[in-house]
Amino acid sequence: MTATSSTPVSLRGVTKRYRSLAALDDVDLDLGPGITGLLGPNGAGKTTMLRVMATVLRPDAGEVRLLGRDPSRPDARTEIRRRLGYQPQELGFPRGFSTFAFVNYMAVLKEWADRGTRTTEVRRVLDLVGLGDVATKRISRLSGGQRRRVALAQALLGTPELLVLDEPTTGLDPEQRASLRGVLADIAATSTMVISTHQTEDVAALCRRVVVLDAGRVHFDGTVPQLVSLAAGRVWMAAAPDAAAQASWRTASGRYRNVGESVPRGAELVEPSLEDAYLLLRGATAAATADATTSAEVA
Amino acid sequence: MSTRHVRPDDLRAWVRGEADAVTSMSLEQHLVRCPQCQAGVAAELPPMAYAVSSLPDVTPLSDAAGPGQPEPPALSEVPDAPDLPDLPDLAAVWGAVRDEIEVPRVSLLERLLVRIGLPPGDAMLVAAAPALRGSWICAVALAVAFAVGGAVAARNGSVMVFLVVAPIVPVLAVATAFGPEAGPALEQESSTPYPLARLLLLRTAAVLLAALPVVLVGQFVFPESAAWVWLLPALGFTAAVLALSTWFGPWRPASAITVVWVIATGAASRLDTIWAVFAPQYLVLYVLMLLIGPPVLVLRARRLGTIGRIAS
Repeated sequence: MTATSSTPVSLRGVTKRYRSLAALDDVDLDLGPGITGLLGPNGAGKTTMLRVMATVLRPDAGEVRLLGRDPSRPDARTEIRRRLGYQPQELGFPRGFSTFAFVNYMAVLKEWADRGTRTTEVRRVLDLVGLGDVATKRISRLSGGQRRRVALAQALLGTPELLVLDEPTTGLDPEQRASLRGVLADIAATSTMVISTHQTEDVAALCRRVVVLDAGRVHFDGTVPQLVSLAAGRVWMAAAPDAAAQASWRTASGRYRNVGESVPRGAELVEPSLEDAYLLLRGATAAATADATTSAEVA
Repeated sequence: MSTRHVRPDDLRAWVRGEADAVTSMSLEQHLVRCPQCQAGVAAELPPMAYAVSSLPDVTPLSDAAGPGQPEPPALSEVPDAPDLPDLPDLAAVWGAVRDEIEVPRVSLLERLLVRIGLPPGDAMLVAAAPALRGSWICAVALAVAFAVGGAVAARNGSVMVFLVVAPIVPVLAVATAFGPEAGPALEQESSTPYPLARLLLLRTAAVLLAALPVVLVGQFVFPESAAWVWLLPALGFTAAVLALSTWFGPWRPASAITVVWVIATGAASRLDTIWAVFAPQYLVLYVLMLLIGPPVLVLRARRLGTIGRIAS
């Protein structure tokens, strides 16, 4: 994607380090309207990238532009935040707040000054995420999935143009996830949404585009079919696990799904899934990293 | 996302006032946000006999007059219907019920803050934070204890412990109010357009103001200087913590200032007297901290866009 002044999210050479660890390492990325899924193992830099996009973390180096503005400038940052919704990965809520009270509190911080319109908006987002029934319940008494939806509700206040969601479907049951996907898909029709997740099925169901991060670098950037096509001809069902496979696991049928370059004996080639492709990519990345480390040690 | 609705039997029982308390609470929580079940309530209500009985007797008319049947009267000949009593707007009624159930009541503290001139939104942000409420109570209780304790200690001639501890109490209270444990929603708050420096200053002022009346009472009851002399370093240290929190978060500066203060007062006591740390040149230092800290906080927070360090 070619960046223009109207590109909602643009990162150029963005680097963020925590001591010697590069959480983001010279990342270039442009994101347009619709939903982009961020995939990657723990520690890949997904949360750091989302924090930069949410304006709560400044990179050590590089240029960031959000909604056509530079978040390092105070006035521009405030304007971005007026049009931004952010659900962090680590959820924290002040003690004693009810669901309604917390979202109402966040609405005040988001400049919903009029009490009447604020109340209507709080109800709208709570109903949207299916928490209308627990509006008066204390957050401390909600389940993990419900708490995640409280954080999502506050992110949806005002129908923001840029939504940054860190693992929004974690802890939800299948019915809630399916319902939430519908809500997010509707919102994404008029906004730019970035979702970090470990659930490849969410990416497959929701995302127009997928970015795979590892060790702070972008290892894949393309559409979901493009990522899936990486695994075409490399996924096999066999009676036994293949030691040479990059990933191998027992399925419900009792047979083994082997993902990799080698062809297990008596194996049957099957259609790849997004998860197969992700595992294949991860395996290749890990192997490349190991090779690089070995080369460095030899050198 | 729920697609469940109230069962007709339960709805009927609730309309007739026969549902038990638990069922009623659960049902009302659902009813206020479900138009379909609200329509069910309307269907269960008895017909409005008062309105029907007040209507004039009319002869039914067929859609089109047939041959031999009288023509319907012209509209101008139809007598005006009598005025019916205004019926309530059901949507407004349900909205009011939902307000009553869901919207948190305005607390006494919030009302007080509005009364002293704070905009309602700011008052809510200051008053609604439970962390502040905890710190508030803590600050008041500790201020009472130290003011009285200081006065008593001064009378007994053993004021040193009080003067060592008193100035750092507000510092630790403020750090507690804004540390990660007390401000768990900081990351969500940081992504909003509301200026966080303003939020911190408002809450700090609230915590400190809670202590002032108590100190004044202490000064009135016990006129010894120990009851108030700690206030200036306390304010200066608090301002310094707020400014330094934009680099290091609240706890590191609070801890560092506490250690330095304890060492300084200990050294002063050993070399001369603890009152040495309240000498004019040091008072100037505390005043400088008080004057410089808040602007540094505002400018740094404006530049960084966050307060303290978001955990990696």
